[in-house]
Amino acid sequence: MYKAPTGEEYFILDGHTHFWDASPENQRNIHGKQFIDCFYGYHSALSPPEEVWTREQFDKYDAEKMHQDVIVDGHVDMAIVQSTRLKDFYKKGFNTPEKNYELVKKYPERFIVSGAFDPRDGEHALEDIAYQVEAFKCQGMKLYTAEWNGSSRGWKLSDPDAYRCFEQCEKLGIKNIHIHKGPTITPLDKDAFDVNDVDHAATDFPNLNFVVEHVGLPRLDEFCWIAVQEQNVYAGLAVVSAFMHARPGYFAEMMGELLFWLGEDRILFGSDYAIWTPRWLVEKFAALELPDAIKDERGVDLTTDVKAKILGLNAARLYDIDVEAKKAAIAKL
Amino acid sequence: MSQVARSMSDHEAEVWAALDLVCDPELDESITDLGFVEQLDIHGDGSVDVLFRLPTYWCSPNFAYLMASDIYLSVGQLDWVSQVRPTLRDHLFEEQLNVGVAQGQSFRQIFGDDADADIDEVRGKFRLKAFQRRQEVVLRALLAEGIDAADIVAMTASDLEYRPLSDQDAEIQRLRYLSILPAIYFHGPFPCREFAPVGQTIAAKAPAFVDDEARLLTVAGLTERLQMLRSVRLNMEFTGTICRSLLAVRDKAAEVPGSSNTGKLED
Repeated sequence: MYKAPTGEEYFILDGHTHFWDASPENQRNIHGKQFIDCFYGYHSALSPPEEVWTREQFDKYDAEKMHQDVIVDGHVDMAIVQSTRLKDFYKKGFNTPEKNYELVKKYPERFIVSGAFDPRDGEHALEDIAYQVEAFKCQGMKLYTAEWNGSSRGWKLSDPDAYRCFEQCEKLGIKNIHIHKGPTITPLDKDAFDVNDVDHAATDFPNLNFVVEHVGLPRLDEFCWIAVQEQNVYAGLAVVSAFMHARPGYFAEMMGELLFWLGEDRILFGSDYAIWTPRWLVEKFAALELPDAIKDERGVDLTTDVKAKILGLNAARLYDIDVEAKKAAIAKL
Repeated sequence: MSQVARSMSDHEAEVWAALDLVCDPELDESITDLGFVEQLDIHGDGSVDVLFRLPTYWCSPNFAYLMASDIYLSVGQLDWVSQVRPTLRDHLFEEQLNVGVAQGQSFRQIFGDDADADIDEVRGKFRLKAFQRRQEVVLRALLAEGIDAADIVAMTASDLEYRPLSDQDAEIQRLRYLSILPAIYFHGPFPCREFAPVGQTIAAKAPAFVDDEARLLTVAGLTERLQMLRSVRLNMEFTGTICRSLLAVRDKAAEVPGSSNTGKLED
C-alpha cells in the first residue's frame, strides 16, 4: 500500500516488471550488448538523477534486490513479471519464465509470472504454453512481435499460428495478453510494432484481454482508434510513466488523451522495472494533477478514485485478485 | 594559404547548410539540430565524408537509409562536390547501408527480400506527418493570438505568407509549413526532402489550411482536425524525447573511458 502525504491510500499492482540477466557472461553476441545498452540508455536518460544505477547494477540483479526495490521501497503490493526469452541474444535467455519463477517461489504473495510464446514455433508453441501454465503458474503472456526467429524478423497477432496459440491460452485459462507495442526498432522496414494486428485478435478473441504495453507509441492515434472499438484492449503505461520526471507536461497531456479515449477502467500502471524503479513513479503519479486546460478540453480528471484504478484496481480485476483479501494476506507477512 | 583556408571554410559552411536540410523523417527535425552529424571531412579532390550516428544501434534501417541517401543527395547538389560518402556508425546495419548508399543503391537493392515496404511510400508517409505536425503548431499559434476559427480557415497561402507569428518556434514552423504545403496539394510520391520541390508552387489564393487530401478545412471540422493533429504531435514528441535522451546518454558514455559504450565500435 502506498499512503500519499495527503493521506490517500493506494493498492499498487505494477503491471510491467522484469527480472533479467544481461551480464556480459550471458550475452551471446553484440546484439545482446546493444540491447541492454539501449535499455540502460532509457534508464539513465529518463530517471531522476538520484535514481540512476551503475551499469553493473543494471546488467544483473538478484531476487532480493528486486523485492527490495519494487515491494519494500517501491510501494508496490504485487507485480507482474514479464518474460522475454531473446535466446538469440542471450545464452540463458534475457528474462525467461524459468528465471522469473524464482521470484514467485520466494515471494508467492507478491509476484505473478507472465509467460512468453512464439507462434512461429508451431506445435511446440502450444506445448510451451501448457508447460508454462503448469510449471510457472503463468496467468498471462507477454508477446514480443519483433523478436527474431531463424530467418523471420517478426510476426503478427493476426497470423493463423498466433490464433492457435490464443485458442490454447483460452483453453488453459490464460486471460491476459501483454503485447510490446513501442518505439520502432529493427527488423528492417517491417513495422513489427504496428498496432493494427491487435484489432483483429481483439475482435476474434473477446474473452482475452489485450494489454498494449507502451500504448503503441509512437502510434497513439492508431492505438486509441482500436481501443475505442475493442473493449478488451487496455493501455499499459510502461515507458510513458517515465516521462513524469523529464516531461511532466507531456505525461499530463498523454493521460488526458488516454482518459478521453479509453476511460479510467482500461489504463494500467507499469514501471518497466528495472528500467525504472517504481518508488518515484508511484509517488509522482499519486501527486499528479491534470492542468485545467486538459481537464476542460478533454472533460476528464485524474481524481483519487481514478488514480486508484490505474495504480492497481484495474490490473487486479484483470488478474482476478480480491484486493481486500490480498491486503489481509500481505498484512500477515 | 589563407586563401585556401578561407575557401575550405566556405565549403564547410556550404556542406553544413546542405546537411541542415536533411531531416530525421520520424521527427521532422534537422539531423544537424539533433546532433546526429559527428564529423565532416572535405578533401582536396572535392569529395566529402560525413560521419553520422543515430541514438541507438537499433534505429530503424529505413529511416537510417533515408537520412544517408538524403545526405548523399543534398551535399551532392553542391557544384564543387565530386563525391559524397555518408558513413553511419554504431548501427546494426552500418556495413550494408554505408556500402549501398555510397554506390547509389536503392533500399531494396541493399536489403533485398528483407525490405518489405516501398521506401518512397515511407517517405510519403513521413512527409504527411511533417505536414500535420507543422500545421498543428501554426493553427494553435493563430488561435492563441486570438484569431477566429472562421478567419483561420478562410486564410489563403498568400495571407499566411505575410502573417508572421509572435511565438518564435511557431514562426519557424510557419515557414516550414509553407514550404511543405505544395507537396500536399500536388499529392503523389513526393520526396521527403526540403531541397527538391522543383516546380511545385501553388496559387497564392489556394487555402492555407487543408486536410491530408488537400480539402478545405471547415470551422466545424477544425476541432476534430486539431484533435487528430495532437495525436500526431504526441507521437513525434515521444520519439523525439527518446531519441534526444538516448543520443545524449550515448555521447556521455562515449566520453567515459572504460564505460560499456566507448564508441569504439567503428571498424
